[in-house]
Amino acid sequence: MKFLIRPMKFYYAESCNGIYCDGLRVGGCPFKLGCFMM
Amino acid sequence: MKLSRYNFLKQYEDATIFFNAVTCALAVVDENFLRVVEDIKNNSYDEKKYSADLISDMKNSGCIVEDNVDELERLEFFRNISKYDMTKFGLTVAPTLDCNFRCKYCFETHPKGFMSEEGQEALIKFAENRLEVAKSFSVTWYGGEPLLAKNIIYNLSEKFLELCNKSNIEYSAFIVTNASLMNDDDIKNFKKYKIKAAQVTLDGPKEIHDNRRKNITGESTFDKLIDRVNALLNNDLNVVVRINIDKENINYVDELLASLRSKIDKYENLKIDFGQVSAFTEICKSIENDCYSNNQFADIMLPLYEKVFANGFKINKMNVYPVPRINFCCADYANSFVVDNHGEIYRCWNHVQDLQSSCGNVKNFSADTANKNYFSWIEWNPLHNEKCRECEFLPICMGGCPYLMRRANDKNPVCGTVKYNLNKILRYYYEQLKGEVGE
Repeated sequence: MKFLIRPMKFYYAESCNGIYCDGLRVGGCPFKLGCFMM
Repeated sequence: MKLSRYNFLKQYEDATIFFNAVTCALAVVDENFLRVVEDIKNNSYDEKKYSADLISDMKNSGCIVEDNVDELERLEFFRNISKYDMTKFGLTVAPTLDCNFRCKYCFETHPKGFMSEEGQEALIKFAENRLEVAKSFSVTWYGGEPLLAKNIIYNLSEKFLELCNKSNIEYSAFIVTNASLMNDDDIKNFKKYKIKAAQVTLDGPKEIHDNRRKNITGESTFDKLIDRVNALLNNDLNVVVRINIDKENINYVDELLASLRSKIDKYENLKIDFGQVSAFTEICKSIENDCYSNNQFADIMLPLYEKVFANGFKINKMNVYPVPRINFCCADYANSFVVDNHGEIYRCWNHVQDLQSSCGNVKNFSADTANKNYFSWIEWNPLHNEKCRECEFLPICMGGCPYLMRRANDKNPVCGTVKYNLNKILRYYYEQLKGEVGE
């Protein structure tokens, strides 16, 4: 099993007001790419 | 062990791909992986038969779960913790609903009027109460055109920052603006008041943009906005260029991207975001025929982002990839509020100025005074909906937009685009990442 994208863990809510990713997402953007609010 | 109900296996010409919607892990798998899957299906799973690393990866990826785990219960647990988490406080503030643009698809009317000094004091007090518990505070400046009320933004920002500094609370802000009123002093103020990113909408090359996003004075705005995007980026602020897509401008995206690439000095730092134009309210019902449905938008979304990637806008690489979501948006998160210039509180951005949807007013809002509008949004739970409970896309969709669901005649959830384009997305990321396969 070779990961291309690693599992994203459940964290509690990150409030980003949803402007980039349509919502409050658990763990936020795991890639830290392109999202300024995390 | 048992198999997760959220597993997706895809057979491509050169590989077998696994995706799990709870963790959003994506992996290339081999016959050892498939053997475990088959053994579980045949009730012959025996952990001793397999490599410990493989089983560990399969557990971490969400592919296999303990027999006594109910994934729906677990999702609900995380959803509840997240939804009622009061350590994160979010405000979307419209200090005015007036606007100097008249975009043809806008869902708001534009009444004159600004948040009064008394209203600002009430909002500060409201924030102060919430910040007794919160550890982070994020504000989105919204409108109307918020820079028509820039002094109010800076006054409130000053107070919000004071409150946060006093209690060591993390503060960040963001602005949705048409940028036409933004001068160099505003950019200095953005930095001073921690407004770290701005969303500016450009709907096509100059002629198309100017036709769709008309200034009330009738002047062209395209060149001015390009100038302001450059000014923001050159001052190390973040910019999202939002392109609102419907059938009218879909064919002009290439031209716009080429234009941005040639006119924006630091184009590689620009984030591009495609919005799906929807006839959200009666005010913009006339554009309904130009809008794409979720199903249709799912089809065009990935090709649009592929154009973005191909044009070298580097930071957009993961825009399309699904991530686990527990709330759909701020509307179903208990400690996030949309506030208009009268201090009325709403759950959804589309509701500003619709008093029937108000949840209360910042002057006296609390769980004791909130009306049913507040609770009915917060209590909406796709995990209590039969269709969503059965759906394998649930962890990455969470019931779709709650506003659209409420507007639907049958009040059923309106499935998000990911239901329609996940296969294409997985294929796309596999092709992009297969050369970088890690451990």
